[in-house]
Amino acid sequence: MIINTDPIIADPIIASLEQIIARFAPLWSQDLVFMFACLFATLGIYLLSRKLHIYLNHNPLLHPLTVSTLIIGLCLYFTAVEVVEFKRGITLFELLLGPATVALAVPLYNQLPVLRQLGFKVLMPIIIGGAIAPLLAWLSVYFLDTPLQLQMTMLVKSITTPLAMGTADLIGGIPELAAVIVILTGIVGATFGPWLIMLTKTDSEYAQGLALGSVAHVVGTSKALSISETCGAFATLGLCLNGILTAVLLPLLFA
Amino acid sequence: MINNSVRSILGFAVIFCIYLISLFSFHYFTIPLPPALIGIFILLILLLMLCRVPVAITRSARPLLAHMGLFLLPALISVLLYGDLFTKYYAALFIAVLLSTLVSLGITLWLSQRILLGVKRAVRVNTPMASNGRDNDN
Repeated sequence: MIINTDPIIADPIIASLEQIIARFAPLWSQDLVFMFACLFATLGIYLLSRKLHIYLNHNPLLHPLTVSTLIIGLCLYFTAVEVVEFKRGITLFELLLGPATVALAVPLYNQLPVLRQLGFKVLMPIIIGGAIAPLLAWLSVYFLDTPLQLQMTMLVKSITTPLAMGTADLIGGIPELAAVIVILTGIVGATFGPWLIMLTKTDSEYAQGLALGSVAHVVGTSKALSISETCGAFATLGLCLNGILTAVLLPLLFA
Repeated sequence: MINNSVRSILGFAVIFCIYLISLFSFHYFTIPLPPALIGIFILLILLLMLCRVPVAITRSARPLLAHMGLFLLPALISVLLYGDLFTKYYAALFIAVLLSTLVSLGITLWLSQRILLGVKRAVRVNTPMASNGRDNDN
């Protein structure tokens, strides 16, 4: 009743709550049997792809996400289930991406002492990597005459997927396309990373970690962890800070 | 065992509530930042105020971060809806994703090496969550 008597104050609150509820609505407004079938099928395919990835010595070309997407795509093709319908079925996983991204604050907090100790020397490589990667990608799509949506999506290619999707949405890109481009960027970075490290004669583990984390995000970070724990820790720092800096700056520049 | 499960659930509840608060702030104050990023800031401020990471938060953050790939699958599947975009602009995407990533990673590695040249191994590195991220695959 109080809410109704003061519509000027209450309306934005209700509108905000309604928008939040709308995100969760598919959980209770669809066939539950279909929903659970989709969820378990996706979970099974994901676990299988992970096992395969571990079995094949973490080969970046057989990344669990690309393998899972391919298997799901084939399954949908043969069972004639609509992609949109299936996506609605696995809304629960989509909703859990939010809390999982919030959890990134924990590794970032754990790496803060390194940032305090090295300060600018750690920030510089992250800023350089975080600026060069999207700039070069944007220039290549700009000169090849692609639609603006694709150009905007390219700007988020080096940051961790959940932040990339949110940022792409804010600056006029396509969040789903951003997710794919980000994963592919990570795979390229992790596959050719060791070769580039040799080519550029980068023997500092800190430099290797920061570059891999800031250019190739989490896929690069897992590669960095296979080099050494220190390298992985610096990659985590690169991943978190570049993600935050890009996600803060791009919407301010383009939104 | 039960105690640990309760801690994990409690930690997840806290993280989920932070996410709900960030969603609300995003819509209500129309903050031009991805909602999850607002959540990262809230959790980071809380951790800085506590000066430590509570066990419950670590226990729930670990599986969430390790299996982030699963939560990304819905977005990746949507790419099947953009098949024509990929076939139409395959050359641009190839150059942007493959070549520009290689060049930028190379330049960043080369410059980072020069910037960090004087830094010796004296830095104390915290690796608890980094090592947990070994299985992370998004």
